[in-house]
Amino acid sequence: MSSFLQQLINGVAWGSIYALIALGYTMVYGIIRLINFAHGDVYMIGAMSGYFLARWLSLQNGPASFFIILPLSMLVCALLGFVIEKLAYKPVRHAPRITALITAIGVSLFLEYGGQLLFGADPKFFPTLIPTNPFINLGGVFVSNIQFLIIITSLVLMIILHWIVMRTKMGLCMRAVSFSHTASALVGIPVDRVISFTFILGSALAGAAGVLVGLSNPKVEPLMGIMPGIKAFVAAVLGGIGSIPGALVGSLILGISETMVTAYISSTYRDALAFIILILILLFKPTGLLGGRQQTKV
Amino acid sequence: MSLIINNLHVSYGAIKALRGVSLHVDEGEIVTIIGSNGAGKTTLVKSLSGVIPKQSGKITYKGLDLGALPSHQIVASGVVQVPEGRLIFQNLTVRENLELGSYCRKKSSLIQSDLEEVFNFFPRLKERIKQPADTLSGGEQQMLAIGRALMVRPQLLLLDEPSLGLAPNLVQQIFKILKAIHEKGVSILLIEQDAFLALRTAARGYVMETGKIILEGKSGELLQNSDVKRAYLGV
Ligand SMILES: Nc1ncnc2c1ncn2[C@@H]1O[C@H](COP(=O)(O)OP(=O)(O)OP(=O)(O)O)[C@@H](O)[C@H]1O
Ligand SMILES: [Mg+2]
Repeated sequence: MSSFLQQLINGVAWGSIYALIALGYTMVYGIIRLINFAHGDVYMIGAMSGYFLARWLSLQNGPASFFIILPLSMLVCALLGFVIEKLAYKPVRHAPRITALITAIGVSLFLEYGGQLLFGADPKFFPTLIPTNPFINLGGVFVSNIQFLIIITSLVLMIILHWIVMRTKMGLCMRAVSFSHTASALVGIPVDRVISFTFILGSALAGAAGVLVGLSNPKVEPLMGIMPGIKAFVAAVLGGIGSIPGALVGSLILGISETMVTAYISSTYRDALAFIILILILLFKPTGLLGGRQQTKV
Repeated sequence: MSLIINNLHVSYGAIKALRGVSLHVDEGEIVTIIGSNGAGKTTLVKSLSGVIPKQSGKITYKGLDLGALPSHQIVASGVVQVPEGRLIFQNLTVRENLELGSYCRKKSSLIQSDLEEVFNFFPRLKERIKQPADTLSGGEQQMLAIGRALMVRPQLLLLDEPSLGLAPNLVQQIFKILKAIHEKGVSILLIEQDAFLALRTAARGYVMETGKIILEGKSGELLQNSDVKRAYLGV
């Protein structure tokens, strides 16, 4: 039982990482109906910039450094997301959808192999900003300090996101644009600016995911975004692409089932699970768990 | 003259929807465009609002070249459209729909008084303020669409078939409100299938057919015109 609970906690921690990435997929899809295949690579840039920032700023190991690196890496990714949208996606926004999709794959390959060129293909080791130790003991089940940090940071970021989307003027505009670009333009919403903002928001969250992963899995390299990118995409589809709560639910389900499969069946099947889920959901409920037609989309 | 459209051409690929349309709306006027299905009326207001690009021609509003502006700046200049089919934000509440109409304005203190004014015109919206917009009836959605446009504080209101799909008594009610809005100093360009109603409401009118203006004049004259009578008034 306690081993099961332990796996559950590990799963929730992983799920939180997926959720931070999946939110960007789902928001961008909600607003311009594009599967942004480069999103996993933005997450990689988040981890990479965490690594380089720690080196360049010669930060001491310690939680304080984490709280410096986190917002800075988020900023780098926000900027990257902004530039990607402006340079790559905006010019093809009115082209057929397949054009945008191919462009997204192009951006993804550019970041992956441009990353190899720039950073080198060899893995780098993320600094041990915070040494892992058991932090909370729930009767034999341990939450490590890193897991705690991952879960709490994700939670805080998601609460901020929820607040932005539901309570601010920009959030209201995001919801309006996700419903119709034309209707939004006709009431005076600067649609382009809202789309830029959505990329900035989604990319910043992916950047946060990159830094958080650096803490728990210190090996970072330019292709590290591919797998988590695909899985977060699956999580977004599972929850219902376009739905923010759906991205969260889908990610937790995926994170937990992956750790369970690893623990009780075999780690060989871990990566296959996401694809099995994707096939099942596309066969039986393509709109996802929470992605009904009436769902508030962003 | 506040709105001037000069020799406007618009195409959808190979389909020429507008072939040299020229018209104008003076400050404080109600002007109507009538014409059968597919004549190009919606195309005209869409290109006025910058939603679809034009091939050639010039659109100016109070000296401002609207053709060079993106939609949201056209709205900010005071030219506001209530689109055909209403385009209500179905995923938002009535209040949120109305608040979006005031996006361009910075002063939030004015928003509350504008809301009150909209509720004066449409008390029914006030009762439904927290309701998701997709639960409104067709007539209520039309009220919301007009109310949302009023929240932008339009100087020139473009109405694309406000009577579409409404029961006759509701149509009368909506047109009464349009007149009240006009009396507050808003110019109106009205597109309407019901030619009789349109010409009784407007001071001047244009008749459009396959992308061209084929007739124009005072409403009274058009009502007497034998071609108009035969084609649009069914007499
Ligand atoms: N998106 C489009 N793609 C191709 N053709 C279009 C498009 N929109 C309109 N058209 C064509 O342009 C012409 C004018 O259409 P428009 O919608 O402006 O007519 P309308 O006068 O508003 O008609 P209605 O009274 O039925 O609303 C029509 O022949 C229509 O088929
Ligand atoms: Mg029309």
